[in-house]
Amino acid sequence: MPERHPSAVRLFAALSATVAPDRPARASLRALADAAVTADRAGVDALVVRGSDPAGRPTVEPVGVLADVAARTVALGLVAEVSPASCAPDHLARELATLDLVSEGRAGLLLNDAGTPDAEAYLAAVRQSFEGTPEQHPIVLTSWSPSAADWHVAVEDSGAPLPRLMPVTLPPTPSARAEDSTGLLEKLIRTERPHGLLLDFPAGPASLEIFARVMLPLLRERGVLPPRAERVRRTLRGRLGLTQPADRATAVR
Amino acid sequence: MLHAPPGRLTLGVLLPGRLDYPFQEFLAMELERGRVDALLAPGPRAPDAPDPVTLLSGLSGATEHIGLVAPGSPSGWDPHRLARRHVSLDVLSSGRAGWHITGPEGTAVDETLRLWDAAHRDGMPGMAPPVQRQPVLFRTDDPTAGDTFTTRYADVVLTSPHDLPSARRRYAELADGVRAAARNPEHVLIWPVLTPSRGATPANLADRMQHWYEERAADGFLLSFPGQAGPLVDFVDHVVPELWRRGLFPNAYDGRDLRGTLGLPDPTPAPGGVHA
Repeated sequence: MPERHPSAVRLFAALSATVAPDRPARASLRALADAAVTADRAGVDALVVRGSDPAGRPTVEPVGVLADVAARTVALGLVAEVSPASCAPDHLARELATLDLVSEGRAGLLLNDAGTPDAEAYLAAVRQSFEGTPEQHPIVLTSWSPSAADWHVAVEDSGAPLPRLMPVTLPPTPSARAEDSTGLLEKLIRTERPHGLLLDFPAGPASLEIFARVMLPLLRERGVLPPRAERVRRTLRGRLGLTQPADRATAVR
Repeated sequence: MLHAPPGRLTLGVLLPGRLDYPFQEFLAMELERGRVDALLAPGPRAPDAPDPVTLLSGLSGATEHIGLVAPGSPSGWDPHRLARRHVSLDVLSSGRAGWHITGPEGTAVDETLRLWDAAHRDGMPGMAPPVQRQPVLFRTDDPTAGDTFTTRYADVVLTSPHDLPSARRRYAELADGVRAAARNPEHVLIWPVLTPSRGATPANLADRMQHWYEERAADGFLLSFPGQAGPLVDFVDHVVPELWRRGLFPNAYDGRDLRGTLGLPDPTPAPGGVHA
């Protein structure tokens, strides 16, 4: 895969839609929505909402959370992480198509464990269900691990793999330490020259807020990332430079 | 039902079946401006129709108070998945979720409600607890069905009477059915479906609604405005203020969940099912 100039790095931010046990659920989700608005304003390309929490905390359905966020954002892509066992493919296709409708073309799917035969069959079934929704074409990302230490996340379109997103976990960073963390991220981008980053924020929305408000502007100041573009309403496909698929034949990898 | 009328009329509106989402969002905000109790999403009749729960999740981000009622049949759904979807809507909307149960009944409804109840009471692995102990359950009345599904489960029953006498008769029959199901008729709302005719003035429409309410033919109404937004906006602008003026309908939300807004208590478990 040809390397890209750091200035063209795509930024995806991942959060779990967890509910803190010590406060009303709505407060937790409001924090996520507020962080999404901040990310939208800062020029992050897309928000990925995970379907489960690594720490086992209770969560809310990703597609529903993203539909709620859609009303508050303008350009942010909205990607739901799904595991094949969690939802029938035709149901998921309808939910994603509706999210795409609600968000005016910003919906996406991140399918976990995409390297297995079951996952490939599931993805094929989801794509086939999209055939009935000619106006909605959510983008598809797949995540798989060829080895214990190496995860890949790829943007796919009609079965043709496109540039990968490098998964990066950002630990909790107090704003006072944000410049140090920014330096580490800068080094990673300049060294690895990834097409994109899937930034995971296990500490929750507050970490995404710090990234969007502090770290991202620093990266732009240092020329690591391009200046923030004007925030205009556009589809996620348009934002990523993907064309509308003409042939919805199912993909086999 | 067959008691002194509840303190006020209750009102729901059926969203027109349009695919233009900005239009749906505009209508939801208009209805909330008119302090309507709940909006019902159109059912997914066509394969490419929007998913109602996802649609309403989007509208939950654009509204603050109005109830959000999703139609859906439990057929073909895993109960755990179904419960999770509706619980998510309840959490996202701070307790404004309702479920208009369509299609044939079955054990999936009981199982879904049991899972919701368990999530509320004890928590469920991976599932955030709902705000309401149970979503407000809507059911379309079918007098010919000969089953007890409606009287055993529904919080709000949608009827289609032809005139006032038939509406009063059906209201009384449903009350008897609710009692036979060991439930309190005062805890069930009867909403005739009402499509305002173009020639009716705001005062005429308010007169009709008030008359049916006071004659125990209705606890409220589900208003339907097929086609265009104009009549719906006119209803909010002209009929709702008339109802306010007559003291039949409140002019502000009180900040409670949908059950509280409609004056419905939390359900209690019943023999053989979730309801009392």
